[in-house]
Amino acid sequence: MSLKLPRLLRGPESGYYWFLLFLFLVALLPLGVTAKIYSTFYLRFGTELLILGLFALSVDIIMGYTGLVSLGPAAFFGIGAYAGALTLLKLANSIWLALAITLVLSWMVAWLIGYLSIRIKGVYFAMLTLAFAEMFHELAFNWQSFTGGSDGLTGVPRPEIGIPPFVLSLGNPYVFFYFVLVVVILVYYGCVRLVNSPFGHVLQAIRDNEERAEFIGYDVRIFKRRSFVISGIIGGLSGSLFALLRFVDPDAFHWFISAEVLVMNLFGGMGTLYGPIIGAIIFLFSKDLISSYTEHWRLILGVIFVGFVIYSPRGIVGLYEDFRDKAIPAVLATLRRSGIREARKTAQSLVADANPVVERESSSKLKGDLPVRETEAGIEDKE
Amino acid sequence: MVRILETERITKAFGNMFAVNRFDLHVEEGKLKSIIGPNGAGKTTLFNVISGKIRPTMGRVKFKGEDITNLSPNSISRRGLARSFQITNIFPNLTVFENVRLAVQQRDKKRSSYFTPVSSLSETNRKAKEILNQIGLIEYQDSVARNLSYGDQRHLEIGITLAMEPDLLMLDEPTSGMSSMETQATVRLIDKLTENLTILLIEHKMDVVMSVSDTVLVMHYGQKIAEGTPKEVEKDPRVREAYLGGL
Ligand SMILES: Nc1ncnc2c1ncn2[C@@H]1O[C@H](COP(=O)(O)OP(=O)(O)OP(=O)(O)O)[C@@H](O)[C@H]1O
Ligand SMILES: [Mg+2]
Repeated sequence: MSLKLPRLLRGPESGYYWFLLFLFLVALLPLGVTAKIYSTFYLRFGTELLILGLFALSVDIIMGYTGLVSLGPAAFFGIGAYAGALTLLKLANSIWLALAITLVLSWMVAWLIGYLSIRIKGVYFAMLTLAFAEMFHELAFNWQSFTGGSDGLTGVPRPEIGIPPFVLSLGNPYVFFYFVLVVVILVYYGCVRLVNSPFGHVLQAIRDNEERAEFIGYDVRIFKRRSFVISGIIGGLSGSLFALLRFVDPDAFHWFISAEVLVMNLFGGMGTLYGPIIGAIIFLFSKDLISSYTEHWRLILGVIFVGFVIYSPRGIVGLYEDFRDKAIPAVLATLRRSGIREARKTAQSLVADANPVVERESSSKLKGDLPVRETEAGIEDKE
Repeated sequence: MVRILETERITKAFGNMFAVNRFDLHVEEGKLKSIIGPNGAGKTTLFNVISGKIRPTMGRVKFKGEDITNLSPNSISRRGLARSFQITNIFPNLTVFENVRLAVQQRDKKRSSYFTPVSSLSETNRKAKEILNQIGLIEYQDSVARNLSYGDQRHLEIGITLAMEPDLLMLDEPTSGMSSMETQATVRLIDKLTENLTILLIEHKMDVVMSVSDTVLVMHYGQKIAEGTPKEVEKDPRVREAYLGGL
């Protein structure tokens, strides 16, 4: 068994690239429709998952990597949705122009909100971002002539892409699906590069200890603002794509949207990039599934959510990582040493032991406890 | 002798209590100056004013000939002033290597590049390793900082400040809470650093102060009550009184 994985798929950062691989596999989804395994409804649903995954990803940059809890991501989702739809309706039926205007507008709005709110810390920052989103909500409601008021915008045309004679309509669910998938892959890969860059590392330093970052010479406020802007631009992009898939109304700015995207992040596991996307997928799936049985889906999802926050604050990704890094190596090591019966005991004790990670890390406070190789961890100091 | 740091009548009042009171301080290039004084004398507050953490009620701070009184901590740091804190101040959830690298990275021209991988900043990575060797933590480079022993965390913080290649290094009680073994290691480290660094040190342990300092300054109720070589200060009756009365 000496099958060697490429360098990117090994080591501590491999998770990013495994997920990238997964995104490429998602390209096979439409085959199921062609083969009549499921209807185009699921193609559109898949597209929606990708778009909201993108939205969740945008929040991960600011919350997961920079440590700033914004309660107003809906501001950007809504700005993007309206910017895209209005461009197509009133300016030109061009997806590129729609996206360009979306990006510029969300950049400007994010910069302004960031400029005004990042100077203020903690809860006040969160409340201020919420207030901005609510202001946009009001504006979308009341500026009837421009935004269509509570009805939103209808009849948004579906633009075409390509160069004649090779022209495809984004109104075609297959075309739109692939278009969104390409955008998601590009943005996701850009974010992987970003969080591994010097800039991304400064963001993580700020998340960990803002004061230290400041005292080694980084202008924390500027870095936070840039992170906020990047997050806002990606959020705007997702809103714009959503408008093309579904519709636009003032609810794009609703605080429900902000709350749900935070929940997706916590569900999936923030600070990982792929966690929030997985969180979005699972959240929307569960919502779809549970709401087909009961209208009280919020209650049920709420309970699951509380469970996650208490027992696995690092979300589904955290759960998986504990499993991979602690449980599996521990069982394997016991298996190697003392055979199947012991291994089963180890597995059982690991299951009984709700959160082995936390305990182990705090028990190795003392020097002399050399950093153990990951694969060996968990078993040696159990005895 | 060149004065790298100079303060003029620094005053910091909290309510009606003067934590630092019309304080004149000067640090000469290449020397190690220690500040001693009873608890609450205002030593940390003085550091906070100099490093930009808090604004003085009155007075000014000059660093390398430039007035830095109202600058933010990040710009003061970039001008070559590095400090440690009385309560360990590191990046607890990042690795030991990452802690130091972030400080080195600040001086790299690609310090805030968006898409270059950090692993490609070879000069920065090399310097970070060098610092880890210097402070003796290279074998823990991949450990998460909060898993280090307390003493090693204190050393890591010194490493972070060294990684900034400062012109003036300010250490706030680097040996506080350390065992005598750890303290000895710290003293050896500081001794090595004095060869090519200017240091301002707050320290409670008298044996440490006496062995490493060129000059000792005694602070009491926010004011300077004595300054001189370790020998001179040791004999000063006012110092004995402040210490006996203050402890
Ligand atoms: N932010 C603050 N607000 C109010 N009072 C403060 C503040 N910081 C310090 N003080 C007060 O100022 C005085 C000087 O405190 P400082 O921490 O500078 O003393 P110190 O000499 O560093 O003492 P120690 O040796 O205990 O560290 C103390 O009486 C302290 O309570
Ligand atoms: Mg102090």
